Amino acid sequence: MIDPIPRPRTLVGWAMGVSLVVIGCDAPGRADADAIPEHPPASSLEVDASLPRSLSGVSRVAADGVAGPGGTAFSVVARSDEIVQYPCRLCHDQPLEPRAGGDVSERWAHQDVQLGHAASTGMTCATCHDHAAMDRLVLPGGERVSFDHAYRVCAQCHHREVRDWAGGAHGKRIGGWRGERVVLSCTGCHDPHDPTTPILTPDRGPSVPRTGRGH
Amino acid sequence: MDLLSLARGHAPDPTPPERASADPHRCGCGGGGCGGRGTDSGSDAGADAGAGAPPHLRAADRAASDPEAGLSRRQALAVMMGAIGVSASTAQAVSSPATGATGREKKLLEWEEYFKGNFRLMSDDERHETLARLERLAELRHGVDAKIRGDGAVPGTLFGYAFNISRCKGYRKCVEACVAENNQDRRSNMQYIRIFEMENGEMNLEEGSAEFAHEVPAEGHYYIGTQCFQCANPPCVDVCPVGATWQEPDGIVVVDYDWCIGCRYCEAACPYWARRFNWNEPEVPAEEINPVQHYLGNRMRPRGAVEKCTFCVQRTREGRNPACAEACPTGARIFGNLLDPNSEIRWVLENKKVFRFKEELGTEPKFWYFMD
Repeated sequence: MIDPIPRPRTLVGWAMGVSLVVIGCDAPGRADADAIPEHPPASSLEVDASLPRSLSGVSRVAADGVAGPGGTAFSVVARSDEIVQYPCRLCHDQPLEPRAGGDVSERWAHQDVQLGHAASTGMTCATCHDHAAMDRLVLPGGERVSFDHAYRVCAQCHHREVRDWAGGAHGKRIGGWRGERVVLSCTGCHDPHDPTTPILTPDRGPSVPRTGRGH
Repeated sequence: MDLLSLARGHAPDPTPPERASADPHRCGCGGGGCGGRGTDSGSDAGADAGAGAPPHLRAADRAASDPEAGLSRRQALAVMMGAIGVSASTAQAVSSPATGATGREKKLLEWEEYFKGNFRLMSDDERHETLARLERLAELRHGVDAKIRGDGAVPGTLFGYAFNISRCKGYRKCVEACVAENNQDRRSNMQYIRIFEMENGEMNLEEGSAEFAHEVPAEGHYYIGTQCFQCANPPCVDVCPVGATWQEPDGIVVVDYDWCIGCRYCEAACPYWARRFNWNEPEVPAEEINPVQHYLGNRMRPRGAVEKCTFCVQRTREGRNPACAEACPTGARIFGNLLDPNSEIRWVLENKKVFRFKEELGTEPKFWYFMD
């Protein structure tokens, strides 16, 4: 039903069409339905450069002791390799006397750590850190926990938030809505020493008032 | 040519005279496509296909090679107007300072775009053709190497969105990401998402302010955002007089920007003020244009068309999150597939106290709000 000798424009059109079919047509024959294609992000999309946009290169660990919706497994972004002065035993090779109150002036290092986390109600450095073994966090029962699984420490008090986090109502999932579920750890968003909400200047709002009154 | 074969996009067979005896219908269909009705000078069946009307050049092919097929009035008009248009554009190109070749090509592409039909009624060929034309036009108009897709809904998906009011702090990172992702007009500061600053205890959004410009979060206030909720029972779709907006199988309400006539009935019908109208030709700096585009999503829109949030159809159909959900630094936005029982959106709906706006209208929005 086509011209026996196609015109050049028709040939170009078919070539573009075929290439579009190859490139653009996605639906039934997709080889890996869970894969999220890696689009190079345009520079204007790097809203918050610290938030990873894709899963490639993100080191993660399987969540331990918590399950996602329907009992599904999920992964947590690892924190150990993001801590600058890790492992701690490089400096802390001897057990320390616990320093109650966290007075900055008495410290030889970590002066940037401000304790604003329930400090008035009895939380000190020793609440989460074991001064005899600084490479791990510690649960109240004495069990040692990797920094990658800090949520187990947070869950001692914030069990509701951790339950919501495991289910998906709290926290931040990276990657996409499909495929492997990788979420940021608690400490990925909250500074465990001073978890207050940062006050920022917002981005630009609308020019035309579109609320009911000024619409 | 009958409606069916035109809708299928079959190019009419330009029967050369020596093949006429093998073509009993003398319609150019080769015996297979017209249902035996053929075309005679009085039949306008092919021409009244409306949305499936072929580009003018195909009509010229038919006319040139099969004089007995005859031309309907519509086809003849298209051919004549095409000829006038081409000669006028050539004359203009000759007299205008713009480079002749690209200016002519642009005019021809725009001419062919003008005669295309509604995206839903296009054949696969026609869709590929219009995507190719639009990509070329993007290059000519903006110097951008755009890749425009037209892929349909992923089977087994129905998108839903949840917004955690306790987490939103009014940073508007979502707004910034949305504008960057969806190539929205910078001149009118077009934004699909509105973030309201509400006094604690106030639940009426009309008492809130979407234009706050101070540091956030402000003491004694909370923040809540709205955008198109992709209603399951959308009033905007009902009122469109030309069928330019519809709901896709994955739940996203989309607009065919080139079919939209700009009457703004949908903008009036939406109870949530989700729709936006392009009063001017959208302007986006070329270096900020997102080249990864979808025909029903973030391609460069024309002046006079209505647009709105599409849950980033160009991203979500690939498994990515919408730009707003991805950009939110506090994790206030949750997106997922409502048909997946193990999705986070389903967990939120089943385990948190969720509500929707204007529930009494029966629009069934797919955007739920909850608090910690």
